Amino acid sequence: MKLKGAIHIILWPLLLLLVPCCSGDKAVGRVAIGERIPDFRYEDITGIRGSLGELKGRVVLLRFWADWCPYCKFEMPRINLFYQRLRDKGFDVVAVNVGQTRDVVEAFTAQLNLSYRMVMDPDGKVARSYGVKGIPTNFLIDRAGIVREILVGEIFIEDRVLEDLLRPYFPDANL
Amino acid sequence: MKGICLKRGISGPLLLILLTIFVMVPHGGCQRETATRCSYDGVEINPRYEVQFAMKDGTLLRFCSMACALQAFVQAKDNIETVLVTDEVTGRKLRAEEAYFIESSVVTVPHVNNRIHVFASEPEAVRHRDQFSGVHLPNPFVLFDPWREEMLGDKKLRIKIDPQTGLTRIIKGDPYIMSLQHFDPNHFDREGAKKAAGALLALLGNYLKVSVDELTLSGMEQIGGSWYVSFWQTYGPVIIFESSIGFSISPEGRISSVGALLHQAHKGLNLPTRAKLGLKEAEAIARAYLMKKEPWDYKLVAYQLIIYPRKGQQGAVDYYLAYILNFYYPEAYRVTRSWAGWICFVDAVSGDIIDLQHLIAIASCCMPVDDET
Repeated sequence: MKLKGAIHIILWPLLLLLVPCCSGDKAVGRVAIGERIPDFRYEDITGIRGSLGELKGRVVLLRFWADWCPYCKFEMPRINLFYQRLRDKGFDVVAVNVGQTRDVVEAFTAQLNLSYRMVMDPDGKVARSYGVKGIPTNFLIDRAGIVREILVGEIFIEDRVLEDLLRPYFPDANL
Repeated sequence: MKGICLKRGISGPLLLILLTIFVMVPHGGCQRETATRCSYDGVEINPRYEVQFAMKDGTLLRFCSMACALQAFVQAKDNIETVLVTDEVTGRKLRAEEAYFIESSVVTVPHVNNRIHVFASEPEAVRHRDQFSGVHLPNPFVLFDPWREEMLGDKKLRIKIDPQTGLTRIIKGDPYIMSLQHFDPNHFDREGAKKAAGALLALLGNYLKVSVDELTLSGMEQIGGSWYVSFWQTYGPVIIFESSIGFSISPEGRISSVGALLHQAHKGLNLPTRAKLGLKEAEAIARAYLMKKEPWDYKLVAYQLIIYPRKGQQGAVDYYLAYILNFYYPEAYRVTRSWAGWICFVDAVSGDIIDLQHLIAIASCCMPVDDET
């Protein structure tokens, strides 16, 4: 087991009991709801370079994760389903892997057949600059680049959560 | 080079002849002429758009445009040492892997209809992209193409190879790799997951080079009707750190993509699978090390005996039987830090510290609290 990973054997039962308290933080570090998301530049695992700022005009889910975190892992395909439904309507996902290697992320992306952007943060600099203290942490950013939700912990346990989150931005979409 | 539309073409043999003539011409009387003319079509080079191939034999091929360079690249890539491109804003030469490439509506070199632009600065690239309806392109001058295509029966496979180890990293099938017989998504369990892995490895064993006996299930979950299954690779009873092989199965039983991070090199090393050190000894060694580095009353929150592949500077990998120990900072200190603590890797045979990494927590509510709080 990968272990940063043995954590999950030890803590998983406890975590399941505590999950409902994970969401709804008003602020995480330097990034707060209602404020403009700071920009950062990246090179994704396919070699394409870009920046968060370039996605202005689209609704963006910025997600910090690692593959040893069991919640992070199985939320990823669920997010992918919504990404595939909404990408042509202006939805984007930037998934920032914290502390692992490109090899790990490449294999992980293929295993789960994910199609959204995978970005590396090997030394955690980006995560720290966004005040991320635990994974998964998600920032929902509106078309103007304003942070509308900060969701910490296992959130997307059911499709309904993502539906409720995204419906205001895509009222006409078949979610 | 997908997505790059070039209007002009030239046959492979003719190109080879052109390149051969260029390389073989003595650097004497012709040099003044060839120095400023395109190695591909002989047109005079505007330095602002020049591309250069520094060849392994020490020669230099110069091209008038990205379009010409890309045509030549296909044939010449095995003999190229470095590709230099030109920042069209400053005229500065830079390595292709450091540049930003934008394909836009603006033509730079009309006789080849070149629409690929090169920038050293990302803001300049973005400005051009936004102003002229452009799109970002990945570096088209990748000297090692990790992807290859092969046929497996009537299925086309796209296979990505790790450039350092030569091992298979990704296999994608067109339209899919295989279809599982008698697959029932509503009655799929651990045994079914292992059988599915066995069937897949029976088909792809030549690429993945691992047997199902070397795998242990790390997770399986049904989402949106599909099953997602992943395994760790093991050495004897011990899991190899950050190894994985996994795939998803559609409700119809089809597997279309496999991702793998597998190891081969450890197999010839006769590694031990039983620790000489006890956990308490390993913990004491790790604590002593951490106390020198950053003295706190750490809490050991998780541990595991693993095979740890440590990459050296030249890409070679050393394998260790190791304890991986996760230490958390004390609560009061942790709340002010991004990192939750340290991950310490202790050689389970010699007791040496092999590696030390920062540990990020699983999200906030799930952090363990100190005993006294």
